[in-house]
Amino acid sequence: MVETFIQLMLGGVIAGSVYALIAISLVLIHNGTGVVNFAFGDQLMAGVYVLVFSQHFLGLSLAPAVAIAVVVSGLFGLAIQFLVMAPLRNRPVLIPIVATIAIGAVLREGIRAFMGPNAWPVPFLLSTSPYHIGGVSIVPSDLAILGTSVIIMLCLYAFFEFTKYGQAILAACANPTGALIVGIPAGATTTSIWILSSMLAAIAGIVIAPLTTLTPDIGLIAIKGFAAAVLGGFASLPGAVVGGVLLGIIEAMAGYYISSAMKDIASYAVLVAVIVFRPTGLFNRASIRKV
Amino acid sequence: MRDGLVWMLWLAIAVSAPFFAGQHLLYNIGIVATTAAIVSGLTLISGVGGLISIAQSAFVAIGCYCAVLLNLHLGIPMLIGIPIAAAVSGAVGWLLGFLCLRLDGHFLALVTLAFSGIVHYAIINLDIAGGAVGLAVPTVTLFGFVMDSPMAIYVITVVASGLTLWFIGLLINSRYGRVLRALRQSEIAAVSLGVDRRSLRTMALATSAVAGGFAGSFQMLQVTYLDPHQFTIVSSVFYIAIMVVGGMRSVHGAIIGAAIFVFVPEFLSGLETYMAFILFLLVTVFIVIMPDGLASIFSVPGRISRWISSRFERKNKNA
Repeated sequence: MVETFIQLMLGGVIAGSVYALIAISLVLIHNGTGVVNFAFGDQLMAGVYVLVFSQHFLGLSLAPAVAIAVVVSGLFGLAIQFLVMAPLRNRPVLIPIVATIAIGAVLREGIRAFMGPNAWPVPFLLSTSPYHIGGVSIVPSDLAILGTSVIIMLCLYAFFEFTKYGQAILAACANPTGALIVGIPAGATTTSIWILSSMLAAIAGIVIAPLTTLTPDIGLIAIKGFAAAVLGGFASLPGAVVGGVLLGIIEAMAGYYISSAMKDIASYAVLVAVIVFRPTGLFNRASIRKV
Repeated sequence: MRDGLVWMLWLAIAVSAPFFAGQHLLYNIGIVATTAAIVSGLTLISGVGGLISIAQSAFVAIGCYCAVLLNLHLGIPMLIGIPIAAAVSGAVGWLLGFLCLRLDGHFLALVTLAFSGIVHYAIINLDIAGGAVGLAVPTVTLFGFVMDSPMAIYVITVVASGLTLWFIGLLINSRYGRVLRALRQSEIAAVSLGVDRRSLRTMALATSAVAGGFAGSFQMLQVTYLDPHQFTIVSSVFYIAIMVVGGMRSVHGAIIGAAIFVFVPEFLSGLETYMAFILFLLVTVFIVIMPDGLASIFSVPGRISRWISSRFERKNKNA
């Protein structure tokens, strides 16, 4: 009984760490540019496909393939900013948001057309043979997921806390007008946010893909990132991390103790419930523009 | 005046279609009409109201399944069941709006996104709704006649979607539409003039749900089979794309967008698997270069005449 519970917690935290990565990127883009990025899930999916492509067709080993996937994804973020977001920056925010929906559809349908609708195998980061510690089985490849996510989050923390660029991005997210007044270039921060979050998309995708099956529709996983971000209040990066882990745990518990169909619905239900009952997120008292 | 001319154009096409169109083209024109009517609900909430709803296919699904289930289990005729189903869909939309429109606009996008997902999963997991297999749509009877010929279905569906489009068009140009538009353009100004934004936006979402449920149920008569995979988040996104490409400020935009999304794939069908990719690539390019949608070409004559008259006035002033 206790073992099952611990096992579920572990699984929840592992999946949740990836949801946290997704939530961080979504919150970054939302706070920094005002756009809710509905293309994120598809960027994530495309990142994994670049990895698979470089492994299967270019014959690269894992490490360079991952590097290529992250770089390509970052360049794609740059392209989104310059080709779509910059020309639309003076339009009402509805238009850029709809544009992200369209970009997501382009990626999804493009990958479906060029790589086929069927699932592709994605390499595990470590071995999949479990160790048993007192009734709880621990799989190295799952730990690799957790480890990678934690390392990435620590890197992000260091970047935002200790570098000038990170501080500038945080400032632009917290108060765009104030950041402009003290001389932080708005264009440069928006561009770096798009690049950074797109690179995070590829990383999150590569980390989570072995747990699911890689098809062009894997991008729907971004909804879990949205749920995590909303759970954390859609405002702060630490909130996004806690929201992600919490969602992972809720999902694992609902999937086991209620029914397996609930596992998929859990994130939707959390998303709706939080927005309806506690729109500031679980932790914030901060202001959300209430009507 | 211009608006009236455009309406005459649509009416002329709809009435003359049975005389010039073959069976396949007639079917497609019918689909354009119902799709446009579904999208017109979005025009109201998103184009005029400035709020993103990713739930339109969920409202369509609620309408369709309600109508069919009422018919199968309670024996209520389809033509009576469809308005009831549309009302149910509207009630759900109202509830959704009531619960989450206290908040700033983009929360609606997230809630409706989740709502679409929930409805899709619910349909798949409910045995009464046919589960993942789907349901066959019962035939429509009118005054004792079974309406199952392509022509009868065309007439019924086009009349129903025409009424929906006309109603939404009236609503957009009515006092409510103007207030909704004012709310989008300057929320602070509108609220300071005493607009109750929450109830107004909730009603707009409910109306869009009614339009989706009503027109969607008629589209189901054309398609004749309810497949749960028609009602995913992706289909909601399709409706948004249709609205944006056509133009989101008027119902004409919904009609143009629907026509493009029905007929362009026919032309692109030679591209086979690349079709959807090319289509959405075009949509993206289109949003960037023409964010006001294709319907904005209707305003070109007006803009030219205004430009000419302004030149003319300036000359008069100089003289």
